[in-house]
Amino acid sequence: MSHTLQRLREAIPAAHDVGERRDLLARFAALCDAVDAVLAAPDAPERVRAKATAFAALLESARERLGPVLWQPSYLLNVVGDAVVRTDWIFGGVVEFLQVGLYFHGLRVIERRFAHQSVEYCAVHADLLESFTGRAGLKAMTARGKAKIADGRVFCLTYDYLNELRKARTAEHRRSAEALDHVRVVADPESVAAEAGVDGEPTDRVGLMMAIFAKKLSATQQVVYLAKNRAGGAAAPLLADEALGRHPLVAMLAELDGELDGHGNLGWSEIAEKLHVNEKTAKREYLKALHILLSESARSVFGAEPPTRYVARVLQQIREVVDAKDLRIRSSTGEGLGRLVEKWETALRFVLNHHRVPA
Amino acid sequence: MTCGDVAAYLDAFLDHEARARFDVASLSEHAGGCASCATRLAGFFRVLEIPESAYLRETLDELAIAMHGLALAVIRERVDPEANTDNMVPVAAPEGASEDLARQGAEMVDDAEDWAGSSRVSGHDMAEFRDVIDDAARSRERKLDVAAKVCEAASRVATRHLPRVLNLLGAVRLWQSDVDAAEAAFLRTLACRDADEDGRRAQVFAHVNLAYVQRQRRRWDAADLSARRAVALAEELGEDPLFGLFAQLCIAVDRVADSGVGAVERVVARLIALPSGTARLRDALALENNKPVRDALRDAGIGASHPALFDAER
Repeated sequence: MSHTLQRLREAIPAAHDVGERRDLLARFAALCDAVDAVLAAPDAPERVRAKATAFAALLESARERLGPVLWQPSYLLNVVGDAVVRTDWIFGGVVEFLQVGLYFHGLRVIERRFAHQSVEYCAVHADLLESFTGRAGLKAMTARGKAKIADGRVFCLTYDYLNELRKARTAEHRRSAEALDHVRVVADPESVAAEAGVDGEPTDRVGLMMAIFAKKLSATQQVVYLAKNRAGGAAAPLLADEALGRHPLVAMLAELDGELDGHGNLGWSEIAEKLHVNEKTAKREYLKALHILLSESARSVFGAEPPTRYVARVLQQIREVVDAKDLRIRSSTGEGLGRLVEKWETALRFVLNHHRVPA
Repeated sequence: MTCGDVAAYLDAFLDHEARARFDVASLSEHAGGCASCATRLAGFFRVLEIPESAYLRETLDELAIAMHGLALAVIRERVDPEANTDNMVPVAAPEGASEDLARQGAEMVDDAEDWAGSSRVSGHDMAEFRDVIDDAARSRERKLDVAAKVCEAASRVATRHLPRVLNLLGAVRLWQSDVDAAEAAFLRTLACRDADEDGRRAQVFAHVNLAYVQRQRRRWDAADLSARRAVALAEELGEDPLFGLFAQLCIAVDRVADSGVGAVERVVARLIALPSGTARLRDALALENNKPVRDALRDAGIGASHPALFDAER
């Protein structure tokens, strides 16, 4: 056993730790054994032996620098990740250690920071780890690390992984939303008006909008929309009405009142806090709601194609903002969300006030 | 969403297709506010088996594809060709010159050694691969031998590109007139199980090549069967059936005395019916290697009924 690895192994705390930390330390000890086996192997190519020596030296210098802090899982992962990048040594034993370490580190972070998106994050995390530790993923990771170190910055593997996780989750979220939109359209080729019982000539435009609101918007979109567009307690007078009180939509409005705690027209930060999402997501959901309300009402009133380019243009503008990775609301002319909503209101008024001319 | 939906989602988790049908955002919303679902979720992911890293497998795949490309580049770049390979149809066009492909192959050998920490990877001595690649990049003589050696080495490792490598090995052996070795390589190509789409495409060509091997041995029925299988598999994959049909044409021409000119005409009609069929058949017939087929077609009277196929001669 090499002197460096011998010292490193001796420094690993005895197994009085519990759970994942103890497992990770045991795996780290196995990693030291694997590196040691490479150094001792007679058939190890000289190039590989040199990399293994440099790798062991980097771990040992980190131990001297950090002391017992090194045995914290995230420190250990980052030190090993940094050594992989600096030595350019993608070794099976190391990757196995990183894989297990990153998996449990990721689960801990998801539980702590993304509890309200845990299902999405856990699924993406389990899938991402496979591609992250594949050839393309590891090569890309070392390239990012080398670029950072060349710039004089610190390469932090856990940060790098979480960053990739966030990107993968955003991409997956959008893919899944689009797939569900598609499923809704395919599963429901009839117009929303017909589905809502507003058949033939949908003169009851209020009923049409309420049906779209109830059937086409997700729960989050409904809450965000109402939080921006109505005064709280709107369901109370409806509930008092004997005829309307038992209507499921009114019951839903009452539930929303409860969720909104009697507030309406909340600020974005308040909405984000109530829904446990960030402001950007809340705004994206709001714009998606506007898009659905306008596109579905236009489809019910006009059929496939609205008779004006204006409605189509507004729909396209909203779609572009929703699809943009960074939700770029402000246009090149400096117009922001308020102006977009004004355009949407104009388009919606046009749709709802339109009267069909019998052929 | 209910706790039952979360449980159903976790039950379906390992089936990607089934999992995609769930509205994960709504499930998350529910699990975020439900302690028992949060616990169930955490427990599920804690015991989920972490898949093995695909790094080594992908590196060996890259090594095989680099060596396949290197063998093709060696055949293409060889000086003073000892065999006419004008009618070679690469399953996939090689990218880059032999030096670039040799460098790429050597990089994969290094990466595989890095991964294993040894020159022995999955029971193979990587030093041998490095030597074969270096020889191929340096050698200027007996290039078909060099290409065969590269393919032989690449075929020793089980990769997803094995059918492609074995098919090329068979073709090289056929050009070297080693019919037995060629037949063995084509049969190994067809024996590759679980071939992906790329592998199945290589199997189409292996059927075509096997048809030519059987034709050389004058086993007409076996030859025709292989050619028909090539056409059927190509059509199943949505690939061009031209090569299988052309093999069928060659066999029909050889058997014209027994089967009559009608069989030849039927194959010609199918070839012409393909997109740009006439032009492509004319180009194929114009190749030096296909001169006997061209002459036999003219003798059978096809020249009179389809003069456009012989335009190149005018």
